[in-house]
Amino acid sequence: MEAAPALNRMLGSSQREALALAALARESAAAGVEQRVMHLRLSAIPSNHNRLHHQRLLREALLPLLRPTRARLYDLPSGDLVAVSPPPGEHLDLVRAVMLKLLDGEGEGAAIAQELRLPQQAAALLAVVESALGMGAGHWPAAAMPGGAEAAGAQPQAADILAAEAALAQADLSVHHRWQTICLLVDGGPGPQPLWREQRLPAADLEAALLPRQSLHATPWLRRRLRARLDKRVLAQWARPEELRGFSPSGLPLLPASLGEEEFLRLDAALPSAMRPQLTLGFSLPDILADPQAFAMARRFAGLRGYGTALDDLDAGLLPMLPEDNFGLGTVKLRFSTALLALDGPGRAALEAALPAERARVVLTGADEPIAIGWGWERGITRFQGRVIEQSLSP
Amino acid sequence: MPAAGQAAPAPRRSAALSEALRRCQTDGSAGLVVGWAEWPQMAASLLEDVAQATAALVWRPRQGGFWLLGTMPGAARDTLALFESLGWPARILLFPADIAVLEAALAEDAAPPALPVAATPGLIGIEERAEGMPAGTGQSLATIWRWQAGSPKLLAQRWMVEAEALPTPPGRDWAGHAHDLLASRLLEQAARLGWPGARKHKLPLLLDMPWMPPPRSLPAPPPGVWPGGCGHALVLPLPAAAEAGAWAALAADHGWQLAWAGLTPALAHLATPQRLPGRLFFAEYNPLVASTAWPAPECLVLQGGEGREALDFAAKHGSSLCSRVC
Repeated sequence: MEAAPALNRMLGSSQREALALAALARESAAAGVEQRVMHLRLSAIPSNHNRLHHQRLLREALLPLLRPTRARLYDLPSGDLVAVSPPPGEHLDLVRAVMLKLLDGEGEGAAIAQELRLPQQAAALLAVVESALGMGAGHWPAAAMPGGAEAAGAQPQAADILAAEAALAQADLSVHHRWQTICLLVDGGPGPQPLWREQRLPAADLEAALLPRQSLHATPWLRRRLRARLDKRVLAQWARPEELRGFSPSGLPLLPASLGEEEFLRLDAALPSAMRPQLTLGFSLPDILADPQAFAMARRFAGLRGYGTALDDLDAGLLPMLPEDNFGLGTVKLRFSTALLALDGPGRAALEAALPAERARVVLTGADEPIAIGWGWERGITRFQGRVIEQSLSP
Repeated sequence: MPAAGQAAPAPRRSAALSEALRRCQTDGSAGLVVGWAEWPQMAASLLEDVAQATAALVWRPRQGGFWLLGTMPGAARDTLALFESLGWPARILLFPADIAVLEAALAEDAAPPALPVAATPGLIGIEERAEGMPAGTGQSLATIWRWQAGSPKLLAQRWMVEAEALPTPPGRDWAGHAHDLLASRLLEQAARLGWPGARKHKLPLLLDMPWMPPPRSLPAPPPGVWPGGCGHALVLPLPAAAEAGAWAALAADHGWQLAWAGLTPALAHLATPQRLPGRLFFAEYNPLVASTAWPAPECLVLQGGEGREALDFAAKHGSSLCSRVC
């Protein structure tokens, strides 16, 4: 599929080629179309033989071999080249042989020219694209990695949490607040249009500061306890008169039980009823499942008082698991991940069937690369949050 | 502070409360008594809104609860409906007919306070207390069974946590932490001492798990395979469903199936293998469970309810029961 015009404006030519290659891999997997792929990992050539003029020489040697054939060459942002040809594609063998000859003496020629076959190895080709776009394993959320790296550090105990809570009571959190903007970005339309802003605290940084050399990774109930205290501090700040002056559409992720706390009710009392719909309260799936009673109460209360509600930070792959009404929450904020690019046909179909029909209710978060925008547009999603949006908004 | 053995003085009645009482005694006003609310601050906030709109008063007696006094009958009825929809019991009062109820509460409020209740166990050292519990305490081996052709059929055993063995202060998070401390002991005991000696070897074993990220490895289940039926399974707390895919892969790699604990009527739609990878879904029995439409009642396991109603529900819908063995 061709990248949409507005997306094209945001992309470099090599990024566009990477997107086109990803689309080809997906289409080949969906339709079962066979292709031979030669991935030339020019980025892996030792730096003393990988200057610009070396790369130009390699391309000049390879392109004449491919030009008269039906092969297509993709130039990726990483500097790698990918040649794709329908079978039998003998010219790819010639390309490989030329590569090996050109790199003779490096001892790594075989590893640099890697052959893949579609549709069987579509996932591997998508991984190549992701890596070329700088979206490799390092960009995966820690929670998605079983026994992930976040687990480093001793497991805190209840006493540590009580001490951290005491420290938190005195801490100045204002320097830690981070704002993220949710924007409307329509294919073919103008640039991103801000819709509302969300305040988040960098939980990992705060946890590291409050519990040095400890990790809450394996004690989620203790982490929730600390988050409850953070919620109270944030809410106390929001209820200040100076914060309420000039109140604009905002979002705030909270634990459901935080709506029953005095700090929230003080904010609720201070916020004129006409302003309440401008505040969207976000609840995450683990928090809903950890305390369904509190969530039921929070959703009911939010509805009674006219607040907006959102299912916050949902791994998009989990959407098909959820009820069709998404727990009765207004907005669904899906977290983009590169795993979405590698979904097979049934996986994609299940996800698309589970998306709310009213796409204005969907926000794609974690749009840190243009490919996320493209993925969203392909599914009719026009509300985004992420680095690529923030960069477009910066003057 | 009163000296030991001396009664605390009765609280002084404020001018606002005296005025509200006068209105209740003389006017045709109404009131609402909320004896208990799961979220008292929220209840108070909702009542304060009504009080402001109708020039009424919210009184909070020492013995607990909230009284909305001196409001309009219509507003009291609307508020009653709201509280009932939240599941918080409330009672409407129509004055002056119900003035005796209010006067009794005022008299109780003026009486000396009751003796303080025993202190709730603290949190400091809860981990050491869990670790120091004698082997075999804080856990039980329960039986999963269902009615089949008029007689009970045993399906599996569940090595489960007895969370009440490790008391904590009120709060969902502390209760969850206590459960996890005890569930972690099961894993440790399995690795160190093996599976419970009282286990029936012809039945699959279900193992209570703490809420934690999927670990790198798991203990191998006991021997035994039950093709096509319920096999050995890890019983995961429901919040772990946010990592259901990773858990399913890990469990399958190590020879386990999955089961889920903590289902409630509000989350009934999740209790089906089409939504979550697993064959069994545990829910605490209460009357609301019986009035809920479960998508796969044959996968439902009721616990904490061995009364007639639970048995009837299970027999009618093909659900199972989880019975603790003493």
